[in-house]
Amino acid sequence: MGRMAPRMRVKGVGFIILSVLLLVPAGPVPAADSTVTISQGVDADTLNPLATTITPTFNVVGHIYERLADFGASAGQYDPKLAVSWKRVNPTTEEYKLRRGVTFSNGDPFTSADVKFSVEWIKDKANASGQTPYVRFIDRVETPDAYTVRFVSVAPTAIELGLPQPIYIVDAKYFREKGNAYVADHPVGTGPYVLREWHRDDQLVMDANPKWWGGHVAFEHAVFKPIPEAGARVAALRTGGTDLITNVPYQFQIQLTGGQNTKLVSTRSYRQLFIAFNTLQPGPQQNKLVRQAINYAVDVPAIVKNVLGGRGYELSSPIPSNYVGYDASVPGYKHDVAKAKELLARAGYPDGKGLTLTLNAPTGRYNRDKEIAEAVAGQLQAVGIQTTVKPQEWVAYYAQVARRSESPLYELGWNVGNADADGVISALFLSTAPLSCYNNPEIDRLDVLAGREIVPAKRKALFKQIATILHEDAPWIVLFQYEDLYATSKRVRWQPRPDEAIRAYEMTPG
Amino acid sequence: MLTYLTRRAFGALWALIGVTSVVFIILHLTGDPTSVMMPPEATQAEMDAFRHEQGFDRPLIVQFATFALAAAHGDLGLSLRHQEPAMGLALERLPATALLGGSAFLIVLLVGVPAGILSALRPRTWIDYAARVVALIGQSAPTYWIGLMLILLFAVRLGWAPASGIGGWRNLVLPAATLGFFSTAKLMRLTRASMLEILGADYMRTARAKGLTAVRVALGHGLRNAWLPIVTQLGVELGGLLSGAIITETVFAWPGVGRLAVQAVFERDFPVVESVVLIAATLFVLLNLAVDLLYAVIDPRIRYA
Amino acid sequence: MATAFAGVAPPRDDEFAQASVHVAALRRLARDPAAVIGAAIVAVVAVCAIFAPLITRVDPNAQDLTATLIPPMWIAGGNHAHVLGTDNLGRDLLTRIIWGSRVSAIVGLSVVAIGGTIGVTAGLVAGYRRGWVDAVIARITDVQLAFPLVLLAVAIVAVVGPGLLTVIAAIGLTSWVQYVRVVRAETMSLREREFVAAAEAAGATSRRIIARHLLPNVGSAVIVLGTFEIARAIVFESSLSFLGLGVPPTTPSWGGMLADGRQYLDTAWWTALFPGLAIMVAVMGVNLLGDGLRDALDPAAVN
Repeated sequence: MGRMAPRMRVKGVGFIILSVLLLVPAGPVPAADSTVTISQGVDADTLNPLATTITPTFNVVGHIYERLADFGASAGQYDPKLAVSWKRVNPTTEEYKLRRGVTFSNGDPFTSADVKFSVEWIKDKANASGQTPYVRFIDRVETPDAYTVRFVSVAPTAIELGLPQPIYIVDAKYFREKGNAYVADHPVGTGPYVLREWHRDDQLVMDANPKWWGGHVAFEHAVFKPIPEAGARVAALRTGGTDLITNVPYQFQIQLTGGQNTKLVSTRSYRQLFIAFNTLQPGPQQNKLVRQAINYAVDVPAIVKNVLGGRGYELSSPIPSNYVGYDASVPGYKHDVAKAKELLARAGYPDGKGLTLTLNAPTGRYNRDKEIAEAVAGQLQAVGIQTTVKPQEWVAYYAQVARRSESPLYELGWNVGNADADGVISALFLSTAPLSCYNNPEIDRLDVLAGREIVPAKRKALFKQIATILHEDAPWIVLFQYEDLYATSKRVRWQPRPDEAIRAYEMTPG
Repeated sequence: MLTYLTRRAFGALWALIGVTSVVFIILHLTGDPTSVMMPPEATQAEMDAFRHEQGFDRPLIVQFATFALAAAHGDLGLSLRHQEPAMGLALERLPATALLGGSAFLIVLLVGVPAGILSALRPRTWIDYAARVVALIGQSAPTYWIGLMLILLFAVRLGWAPASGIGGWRNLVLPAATLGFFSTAKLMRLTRASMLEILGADYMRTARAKGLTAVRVALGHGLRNAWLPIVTQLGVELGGLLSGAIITETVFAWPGVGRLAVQAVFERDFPVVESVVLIAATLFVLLNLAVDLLYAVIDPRIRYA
Repeated sequence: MATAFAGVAPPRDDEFAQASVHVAALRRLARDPAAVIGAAIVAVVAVCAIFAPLITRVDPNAQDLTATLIPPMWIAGGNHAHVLGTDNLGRDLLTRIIWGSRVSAIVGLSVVAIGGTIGVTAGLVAGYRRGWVDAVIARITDVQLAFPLVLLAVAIVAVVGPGLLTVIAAIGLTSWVQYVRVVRAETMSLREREFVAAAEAAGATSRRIIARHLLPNVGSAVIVLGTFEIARAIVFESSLSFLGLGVPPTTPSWGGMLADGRQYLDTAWWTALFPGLAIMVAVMGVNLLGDGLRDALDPAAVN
């Protein structure tokens, strides 16, 4: 049986007993050799691709639904999917040619009307989609013919409107007919897989879509089996309960590399972790010398080596080296206790005396988030700065961060899907951004210019200017980028992507 | 009897209304889920617009009135995160929790009570001491730590049972044992104490003097008289198992109501939390009523009026 | 729970008799080996909590990133500098366990103070006054009892933000209800006794009757219950830490250590084993003492 309809209104003991009996056998199990099982930490929250904003959900719906293009292997590259080509018609208009002969799994043909509908569904306030920021620059969608779509933006933008955002294309007719509650767990897309059954928090089974335009996939069945505990994920992989696990804890590296049936795969992530100073609130963190001193006091390589098991990349700037807009000539801070102490003394805190700071951090949001905060606190303690770590659960913490009231120090992670420097600067340093506790008119001015600049070389020069100012002013403790660790069974061959996407159709038998 | 039941029903209704109201207010004081439902690059204006659309910016009292009105009609709303009816999501998990709680209860019943009787019948023997030590550990160790240690021993070291998830009976053993341990310990102690008390009573001596064997005396006369406190405690423990399931399900990634509740609190998915709390409170109230009625069956001297 | 306390300590109204009852109870306690063991454990925990800085010179927050997850000294790879090994940031486990007793002690005692004060007061008033006061308190009790306590505490921590005070408040606000049940039942039987009637006839105010005549007589039951509530609070605190809602990590606590150690279960079991053992032994000590107190204060009871 499929998963129980959510609106079932049956009650009573009989129902419970019946359900218990039905719950244990989860349908016929597909043949093992044609199945790949993927275990993330959490289950999908919904199967409506326009209603979610979290990566694990995108990883599930990304098998059933498709975008105009996917991110390519490196920054600024795209792999065509539902669009075959695109070009800029004028500074505010982009034109996309759509793939022909594509149908949704229910047989409906895919046309430009579906693209228009998908964008408008997100924009429609009544749907209360969290994806509105993805389409904020799209003024309207035009459909000159069934296989051409034009995105018209409110102002000229350097970034392609239809590409970087995870806008998945849904069947307009089906959505209109069935309504939002129904489509949330009855997905119909153009992608390589179709849903077979979904038992929430237990497993989600998909079968290959025989009508997929992309042809044959190596694994006939793809199963998502969420396992929240990292240790349990590792155990499941080693005992053959799953084929691919995410967020492998660093201490398992050796075990899994040398494992009989397991191998470790990894890739440098676009995600960086940083600690920001709240320069808007009064306190010693408003003193530039203190901020610089703290940057010198933190030993990032030691943290990467000992807390991340070596699986991280020290950064010199908020614009990481694998982003569009990075410039290698901008200097960074290297660990230097003497320099830190000298700057502290100049700032009026000899040996850190009188300097007491709180380092706010989320728990369980990013890999090792709390421990990294504790390690940084330990290093600040070493130069005499009294530092208390205050970890909080994510929602309460993030609400404070977005209200700019976490002070004087707060830890946050950041990941820009298209690896463009603008995604860091405009969200985290502009005086108007809710997540920025920094106000510098010069940065505001330069970022507006960079956002509109279409010539790559000129744009890069603008970001260099920005990075130089940020180095000198030090509004962050710049830390590192993660290396994403996955492990797979030897029967699966797969190369991870820097945007944290997992796709079964990119896997082959090992 | 009928008046008694009516009075109990009103009491239960009041408890349910009280519980859902308190949950609603506390939960809404924790802030709304806008930040988890929007991507991090959202601007203040976008977040405000979203808040407005969802109605999170209305005064708490207005939000509460809207909720109460809909809830009175049996509608707890759509889950904010899953965009599906919240009560349906919660009920969907109930079988998994019932399976876990039921198995744990069986352990309590089939291990706790017999061990208590045995321990009382053979006082100051190694059986008695072993039972008492195990009971003491069960009552002192945190549930989740027991769970972690069972995982360490049986899943990690020995590989006998999976560490998490739902599936066959092998998946059920560790979480059920974890969940049932505390209650088993409690029941063991209680049964032992009750039995010792009864065994020391005069009429028991008489029975024994009549030549009945100790075991027959104990089970025939003793248990019948010791039943009352044991049944009471079993009722309390069954309620406790539901609440303990919150932690156990988290440790073992068991897809039940408890884990859903913890997730929902952390994500501020208000309708889901309300649904879970309502289900839990209803079960609790019904359980209490059942225990009280059971008294009357077991002990004919008790009459409700 | 209530059944266990029915008939605890015969009511007395003159102070001399009461004192002699307590002396007798203490004597009985000292003759109970289990209770003595329990008292000894509690004493050790108390000594650790009060004298932590004198017992160990090591800073519980001192990190050594080059010496993380070192096993206990009797296992290959361990050394004498870290008897029980180190945690994921190279902090000494034994030192943190000794310091962690502080949080457990503070939480245990504060929770009993909060819960006990609210619960005993409400129980006395409800049991003596009866009528609408009793009805209102009973209704609130019903609501509290039907509430999944873990969820309530989680929500409270989420509202106020984490910290020692929040944890104490959250647990304290979930613990009063036990006292109400016991104290109310006791009070209801006490108010029918002659000495209460005599006081009423002599014109004593109800506040005076509650404070001078009823409170001392529910004392034994409250002491026993309070002991068990200390144990419950210690476990509850560690559960909150386990869910990531405990005290900040710069304040070492057993629950927090256990929560950290949980992710190293496969590779560094000692980080999860020892803090858990500390909780278990401490709680066992309190429970044994509670059992002993109950038996000592109620000599008629079996066991």
